[in-house]
Amino acid sequence: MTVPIPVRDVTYSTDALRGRIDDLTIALNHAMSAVVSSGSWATDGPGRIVTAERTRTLTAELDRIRHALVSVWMTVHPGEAGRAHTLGDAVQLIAPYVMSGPLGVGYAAWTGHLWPALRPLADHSIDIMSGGNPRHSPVTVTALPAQSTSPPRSLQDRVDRIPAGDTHIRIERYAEDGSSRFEVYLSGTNFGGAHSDPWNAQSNLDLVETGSSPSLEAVKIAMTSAGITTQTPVVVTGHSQGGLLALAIGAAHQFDVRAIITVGTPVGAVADVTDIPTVHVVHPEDPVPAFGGLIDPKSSTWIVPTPHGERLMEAHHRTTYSPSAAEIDNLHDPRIDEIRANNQATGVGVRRDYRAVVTGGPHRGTGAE
Amino acid sequence: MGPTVRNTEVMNISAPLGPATEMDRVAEALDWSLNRDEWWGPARLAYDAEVRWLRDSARMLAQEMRSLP
Repeated sequence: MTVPIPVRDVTYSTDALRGRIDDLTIALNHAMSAVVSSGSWATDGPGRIVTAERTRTLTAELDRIRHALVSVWMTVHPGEAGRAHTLGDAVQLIAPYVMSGPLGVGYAAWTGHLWPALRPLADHSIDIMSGGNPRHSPVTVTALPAQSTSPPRSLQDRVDRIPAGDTHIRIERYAEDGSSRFEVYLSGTNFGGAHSDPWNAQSNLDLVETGSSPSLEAVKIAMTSAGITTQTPVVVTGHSQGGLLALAIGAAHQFDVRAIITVGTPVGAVADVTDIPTVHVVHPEDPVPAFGGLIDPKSSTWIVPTPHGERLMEAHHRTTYSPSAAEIDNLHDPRIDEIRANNQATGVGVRRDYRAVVTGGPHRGTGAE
Repeated sequence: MGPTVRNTEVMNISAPLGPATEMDRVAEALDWSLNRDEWWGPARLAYDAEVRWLRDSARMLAQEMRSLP
């Protein structure tokens, strides 16, 4: 089921969600009573057996949808503890919020209710990290052989083109009326990456703390090398750390960024870019966006439950975000459709992947520079 | 525009109801939800299809239960 909520409408959406969850709770209670009442039908002939089974199926579906709505509601609403009494399972909802700290995280990992437990920790850690000095580790960027490609036509198209493996940057160029239009795709963190990998976990901390990182330097080098200037429109799509990079590129105004699309990015950890259309997609089960703390209510964040109930890092994986992006495409929300229409490239394009390596000394994380 | 005052009768049940009546109550609660006048925004587009299907299924089940021999 798709339940995307644009956080831009956070007040209306959360109130509406709360109301619908209450309604589903009442309906579920009656459905469960119907299941109990029809339980004795199992020996009363095939017609009754089938009807009793369908009653159980409907009840399970009600419960599944209600659970998904509760999951989304907890993600967007900053006052879960205060409002949880309106829900049937208030104790279950309040518990992870109260148990912040390691116990809360453990509970969250167990129940899948990540956001209430991680938010206090994330806000605290971001406070600690703020105000650091930029560090500069030289990076070398290598362009791989070019290939022809066709333009992306949807959010899902763009998410599917985010590179994997050791190529962290993909750039597409489309000729247009004597000029060019570009699409840039940036991959997520390589959590096992060594010092030489600009996309390792340290770069996330660098980006949040200082607004600079080797991965950001690599992206700027690749974009400039591809011919992207202040005069050439470009759409930047990023997964996880790639989304942080996309926001940093947009905020720098060094390029003519026309739209920013992020998936699985801790957007709450950095200031949103307000003068460029943005689309942020997060799974409530994904711990990485939750570590960003509260989502800015003014941002264009779409919260979609994972397609098959994936949790934790499975919920974070780029490929898990692909069907979620498709769900948003299929809604044909005017804001999304406008971004798509305004940035639709045409014709045959040229695609090139880029590999980046940190070539400087082991200065990262020391603040020595 | 949906109703503004909710019939809370369904919330004060003292005697067990039959399964068909319970299914009626399921459909009523979901129908109420579909017609909430404060229910607004793109969220409505996303949820209504599922809730409408559940409401219609509950109604159908209630009818079938009553027609069972």
